[in-house]
Amino acid sequence: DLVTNVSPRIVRGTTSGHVFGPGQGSFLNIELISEKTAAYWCKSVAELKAEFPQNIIISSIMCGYNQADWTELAKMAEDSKADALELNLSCPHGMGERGMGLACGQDPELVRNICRWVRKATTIPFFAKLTPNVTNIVDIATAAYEGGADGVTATNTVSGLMALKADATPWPGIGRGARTTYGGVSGNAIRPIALRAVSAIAKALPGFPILATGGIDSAESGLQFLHAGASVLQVCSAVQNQDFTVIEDYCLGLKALLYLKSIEELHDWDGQSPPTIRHQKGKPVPRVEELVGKKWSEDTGKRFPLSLHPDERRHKKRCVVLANTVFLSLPNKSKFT
Amino acid sequence: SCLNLENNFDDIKHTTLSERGALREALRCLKCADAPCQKSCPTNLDIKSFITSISNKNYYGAAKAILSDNPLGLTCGMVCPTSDLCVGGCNLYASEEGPINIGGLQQFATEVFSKMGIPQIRNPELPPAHEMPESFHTRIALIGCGPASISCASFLARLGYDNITIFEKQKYIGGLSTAEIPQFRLPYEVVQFEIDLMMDLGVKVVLEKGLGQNGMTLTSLKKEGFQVVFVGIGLPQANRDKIFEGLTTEQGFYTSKDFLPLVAKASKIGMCNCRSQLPKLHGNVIVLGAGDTAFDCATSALRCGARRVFVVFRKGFTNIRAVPEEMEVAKEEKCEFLPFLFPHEVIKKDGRVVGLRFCRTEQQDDGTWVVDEEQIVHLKADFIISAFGSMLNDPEVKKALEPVKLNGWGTPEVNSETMQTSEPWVFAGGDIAGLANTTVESVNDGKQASWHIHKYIQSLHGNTVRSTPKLPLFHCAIDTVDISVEMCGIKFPNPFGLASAPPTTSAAMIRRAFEQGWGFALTKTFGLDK
Repeated sequence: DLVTNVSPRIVRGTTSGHVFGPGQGSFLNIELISEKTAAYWCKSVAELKAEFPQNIIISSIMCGYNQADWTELAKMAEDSKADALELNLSCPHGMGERGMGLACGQDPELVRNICRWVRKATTIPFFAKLTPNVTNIVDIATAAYEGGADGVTATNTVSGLMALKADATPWPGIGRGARTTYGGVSGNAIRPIALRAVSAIAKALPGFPILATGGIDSAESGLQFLHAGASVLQVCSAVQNQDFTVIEDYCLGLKALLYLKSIEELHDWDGQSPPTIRHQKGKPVPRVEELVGKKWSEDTGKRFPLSLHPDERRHKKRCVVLANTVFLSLPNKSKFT
Repeated sequence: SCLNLENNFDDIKHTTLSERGALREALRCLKCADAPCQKSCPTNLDIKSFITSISNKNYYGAAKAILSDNPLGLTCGMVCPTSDLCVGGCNLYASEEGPINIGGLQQFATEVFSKMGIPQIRNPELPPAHEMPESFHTRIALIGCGPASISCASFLARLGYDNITIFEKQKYIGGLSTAEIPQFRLPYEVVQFEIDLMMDLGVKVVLEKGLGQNGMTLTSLKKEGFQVVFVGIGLPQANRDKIFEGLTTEQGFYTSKDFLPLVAKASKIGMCNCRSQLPKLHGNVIVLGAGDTAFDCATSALRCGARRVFVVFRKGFTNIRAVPEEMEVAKEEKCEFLPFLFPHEVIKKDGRVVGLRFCRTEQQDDGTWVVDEEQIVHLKADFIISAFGSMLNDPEVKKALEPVKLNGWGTPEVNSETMQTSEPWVFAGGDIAGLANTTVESVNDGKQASWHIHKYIQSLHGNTVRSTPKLPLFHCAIDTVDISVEMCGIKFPNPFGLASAPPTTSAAMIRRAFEQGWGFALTKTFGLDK
């Protein structure tokens, strides 16, 4: 179903106050699905897979509520050698009016049937992208599971109206008539909503794979979603805030967070943040209990719970921790990770 | 001074940040496309990238970016004259909140990493040591364990050289960072941390061995089998004015090179095993000079018991050589300043210094400075500390440097591109090479030299190196963690991917993302042609 986009369609969010520049807390977009054809994307997927065999490409597809359409598109995407499919049942703007996107994704019955059709049509894994614009996202996730989906993506953007100017024109306002539609809010502002959705789905359907998206802007926030039950993380707004180079920071950050979990002496650290010691006017204020039995520091002549005693500083032996091993210790055991 | 600072060596830097302070400061950064801060750093640090890492609470990522380009990242974060370098160029200078406190951010990130206690490891991409080509076992000697040598040795070790020895003539390591920069600006444990990281890569440090001592010369090192030598001895002797000839510390006269090491030995725990006392000062202390060292002397003098400190210099306030950070600190601690005075004669009584006679200086209209001997100022003082700069005039050391050609100032002539001296196997960097004035510039000298030493050693074995220099990054055990994930039978190289959204509008964008390292990507949603 071909679409044409309007401009301007992606605007800065007003949720973080009057901060301009990189590091925006949220965005709102009224962008529709791709303006490029299925033929373009299927060819591109084939080319990209050949060029980057180690990387994974998931094709995102959307049709109206029509079995023939879904079957045809799913087969086309599978033939292009995509690793998996994502069914867009949650685009919150522009498509609902045509009976697509959000219109499908808010009704569990429709979701179940679409998943059944796609399951029949394809052998590769497929995930349903869920919308948070529902009363109970677990119902939709259960419907996707019952329909045969291999997992869900939680969540798409939250329906919103970013701002109105003093003369009641909206932001974004298109053309001379300053027209708008309710758009999708993304970014850090929706992280609590997405985190709740991931957590609720993981609790209700233990072991069902979840791809988390919604306000992931660092390894630290990504780890929160992994703790809540997700397996992989999708990023958008953080890349809009900066550029593609942030991936290096995310990967290193995640490695550091995992590695630090394995160090006994750093158990009181919060991720990569050292604990704040009790202090006043820049000097530590130890409790008596902490001093009893502690080594008397001959050099300073003071009794301190020295956080950085020279003998303890060099940790020569470390075990290499694999991501999988650490996650098995989390409460939400998944047979898929 | 109002506040009694005697024996108080707590941190006085204004740039030190707490975690929340660092996160707030990192958020302010504009991440300029053509960042002036990166251009002005002598060691070419990727400042934008480490500030982004700090704002994402990834302190190890920031520390890795810093230590990859500057092995003495924590020292430089604390003592760099940033108002002259990165902070001075920051585009936010024009805003109300002011430029980003880059030095403070750098100090914060590397300090958190130092608290993690994780050692550096050999570059994992290199083959194991016994499989390395013969050229990488070349014996390399570095003289002087200061910033230039530490940096040069670190980079050579990262490249894969495993037979590196640093010779240091003193009983302590770190050079000026340990001996002269005071504890309240640069704690000794910082220097220890950075040298520990260097030694994790197998670099050996030998103490109490210096040029000109016990017959150690460049020729003797060559005879012992060292094929390359890097000279990083700094400028060990103080520049003494002739009016101070013959004066000793007992009489009340110190040069900066006498005074600051004494203060360091007493205040820096772990520097040396001597249990020495601070030099006991009292009354009025006159510090001569207006460079960074003079202000270090002034603030240190307050901690040794001085009641009043006067910083006296030849030129005016507008010509002070020291950076604003140093001068502000001295001013806050209530040191006083006396410009336009040139020392003329020392006044002694009973063999002890009791004062100094100065003549007024003046700058003519054509820019030259003249000393007017008719305008005399007589100041009483209990102690005099002179900080007129440093030089190399030890004849033993100069003889030990033969056959390297020395220039008019008595220091080796150095090629500013390759850091080589007149002898192709002898390199020099830091203060002695005459190009560097600060710690960070010396670190860059060492970095520059390390690449050319690598090129030279490879040429001895008939190999060429790549035309554009490329040095390995900082590595530790964290980098070896495997973050691949398997889900639904699909193996993802890492769990981060691009969502179906504007960043994946076209296949070209997905290609660029994969080139950067993203694990997976969703296409933008497409439908049938209806």
